Amino acid sequence: MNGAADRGERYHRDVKKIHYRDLDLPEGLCVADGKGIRPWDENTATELALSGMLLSQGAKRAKAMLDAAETHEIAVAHK
Amino acid sequence: MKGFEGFRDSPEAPFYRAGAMSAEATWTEVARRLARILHSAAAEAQRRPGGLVAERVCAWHRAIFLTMFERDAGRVRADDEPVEFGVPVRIGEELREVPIRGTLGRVAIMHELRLACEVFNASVAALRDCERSVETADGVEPAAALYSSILRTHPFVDGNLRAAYVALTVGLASVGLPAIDFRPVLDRHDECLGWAMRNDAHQTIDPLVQLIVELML
Repeated sequence: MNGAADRGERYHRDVKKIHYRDLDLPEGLCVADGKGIRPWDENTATELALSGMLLSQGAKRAKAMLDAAETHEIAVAHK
Repeated sequence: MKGFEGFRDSPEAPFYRAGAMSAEATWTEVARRLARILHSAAAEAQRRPGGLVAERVCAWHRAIFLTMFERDAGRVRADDEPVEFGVPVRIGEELREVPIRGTLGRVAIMHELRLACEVFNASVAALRDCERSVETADGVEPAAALYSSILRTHPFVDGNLRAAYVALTVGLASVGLPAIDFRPVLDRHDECLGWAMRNDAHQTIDPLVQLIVELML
């Protein structure tokens, strides 16, 4: 084993794993979306990037949501 | 990149489009780079957890936007660049969009980023030293607090949520927890941020922690 890989392996062994009493986690990187936890595969990073992009529309989404609520209130008030 | 056809950035946003590129092509390139950074940063965090510094947050922002917006990528807002953004805040039964001002002044921004990183590092170290098993919420809380702190500070002229989302993913990976795909709960995510960022006695990180835990369990 070369030096860098050896150091990485040693570091990995030294990292203390945190145990969660209410969560059964697979080994390695994983992702959760409300339908369970699955290991990270080749599509995961793309899916997460889409999530990050859509989150960044928050202010616009909030305004749309509030506009919709206002429209509903006006419609109710006019009934 | 397929899957975010519904994405529409504001045309007034500094990162709406890059040079002669179309807005759609700009967003596709940003999403492609964000995907790469999410993967590399999460893998690195799991290999070497802890030790987060403010400069790392700036480096993620730079890496996401470097090819599109070289001038502002990773650049903390200057003293004469104020920023204001809206979050939905629940007041009684009503949801109101409340304006929040990002921290003003480069020195103050870096101070708050460093503080957020120090709090995160200390919380993660305490979790690692814990001899007993812990609740998932205990593991989620440091990353959620870091995410909320970065967003409240709003260090950059644009792209704050994308950089903060990398920090959240790294924060969770640092304590062995999964990354979160928020797409099924975007509106609820926003409301949880509202609770975390409101400036009154009702301010709390708990709804955001609870939402993340729910998506894991």
